[in-house]
Amino acid sequence: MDRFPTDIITIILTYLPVKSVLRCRSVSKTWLAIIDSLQFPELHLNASTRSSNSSSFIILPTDFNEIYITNEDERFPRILETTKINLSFYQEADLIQDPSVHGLMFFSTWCRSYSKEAHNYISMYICNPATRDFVKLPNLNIPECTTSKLVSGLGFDTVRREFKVVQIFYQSWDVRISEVQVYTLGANSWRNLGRAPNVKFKKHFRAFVNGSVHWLAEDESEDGFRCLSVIDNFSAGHIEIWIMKEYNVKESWTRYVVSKLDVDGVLCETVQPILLRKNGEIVILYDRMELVSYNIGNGNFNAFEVHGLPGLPHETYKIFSYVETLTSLNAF
Amino acid sequence: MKDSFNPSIEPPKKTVTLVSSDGYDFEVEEEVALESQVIKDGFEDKAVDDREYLLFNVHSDTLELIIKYCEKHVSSRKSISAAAASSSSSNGEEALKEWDEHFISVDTNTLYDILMAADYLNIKSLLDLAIQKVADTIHGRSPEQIRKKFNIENDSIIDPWASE
Repeated sequence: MDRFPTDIITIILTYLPVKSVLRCRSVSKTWLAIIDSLQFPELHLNASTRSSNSSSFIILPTDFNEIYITNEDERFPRILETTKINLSFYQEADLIQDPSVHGLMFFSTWCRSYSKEAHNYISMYICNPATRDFVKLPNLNIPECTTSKLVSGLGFDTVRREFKVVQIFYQSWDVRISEVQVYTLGANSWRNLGRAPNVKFKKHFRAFVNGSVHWLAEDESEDGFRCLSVIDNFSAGHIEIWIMKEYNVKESWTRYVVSKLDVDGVLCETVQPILLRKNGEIVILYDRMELVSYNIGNGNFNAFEVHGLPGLPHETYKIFSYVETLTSLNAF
Repeated sequence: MKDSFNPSIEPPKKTVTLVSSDGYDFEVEEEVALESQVIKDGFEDKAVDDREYLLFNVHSDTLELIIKYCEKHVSSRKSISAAAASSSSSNGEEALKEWDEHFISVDTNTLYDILMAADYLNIKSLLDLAIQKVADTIHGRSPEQIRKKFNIENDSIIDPWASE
């Protein structure tokens, strides 16, 4: 194998999962140089999104301050083996609200609303759970509106090729009072961007798509919604999920109907779509407990068997889709 | 005389000659040789009676395997599309996958030769197959086992236990 040219070794290494790649760093100096090169994480990400049909998830049990990662194994499609991830800062900043962006996750301290007192204890981190690499973000600038609600999100700027965190401060009783701050990975401070649009943000509904973070918001001026997927579960027997299939094309909103799930005689009433798979199935979390892969075409669904989680009876979970990558925080 | 289409009479197959690095001639059907993107790219520019390719980087042992692979893929593609046209059920793709798996289960040196030849001749599906095989061999092995398997000199400066 020493005979293989470097470009062939590079391609071979992009075919491996993250854990194997990290182990291969100690094979030889040549292999180490390839893996630690600036280009390699992106080559690896492109190869794995092209080839892999399987999904990964981050799972957070409600009653345990722990974080688990699971990678679907194509040989055992209905079983998810989980691995507990130990992150040294996790006790300080355990709030995760978004799926990963190129394998990076945004962690922050939970706080009901922003205030001068809260300012000092809010910690924020960007972390790659696969490599355990993380950075602590600098303190926010003190906003002009001293008490406010906070929404935040991590995104990747595809034009400048930078990771950014957006923090929006807003007053729930008056949308005209707001402030936006942006942090770019690698910088040492937050930048003020002035006011946010006059909308009422729905804090917990957002997505990172096409280079922007999106929030579900009530638009006061146009009286409408702008977002990517909405759920209506007020009907009796079924739940409607609306997904915008073509980005920013109003006409592409597609309605999916899924049934409520019967688990041992108890009807699960709430759904949370986790991801749309390449094979057309939607992975849905029912009642924050049951993870299923739902085939919209024929209505069939398969529940995942999740192994290795701490178990209380009726434990609930937060689950996000996750992509394991080698994205390095030092490269920014 | 006017040509008439008669499916029962097959036209004589056109062939090309591939010459291995150790000087052996292999006469193969045109469509089999065209599995190689490199041969395909230069094909139209060559005169019909001069379709000979000197493959300086491919030994006859390896070339024989490569031709076997290409012949199998050409014939499988035909039977798969024939089955699809007559809408009869076929497990052709599944069978081909199994054949590939068997084909690539070779010793490390042969795997190396196939991979380098597939890269040189630019046969994408075979290159993918060989790379996947090497990756599968690496996956789950310790650095020490990987070095031994592929005969790599240990000049590592990393403590193998540090990243675990």
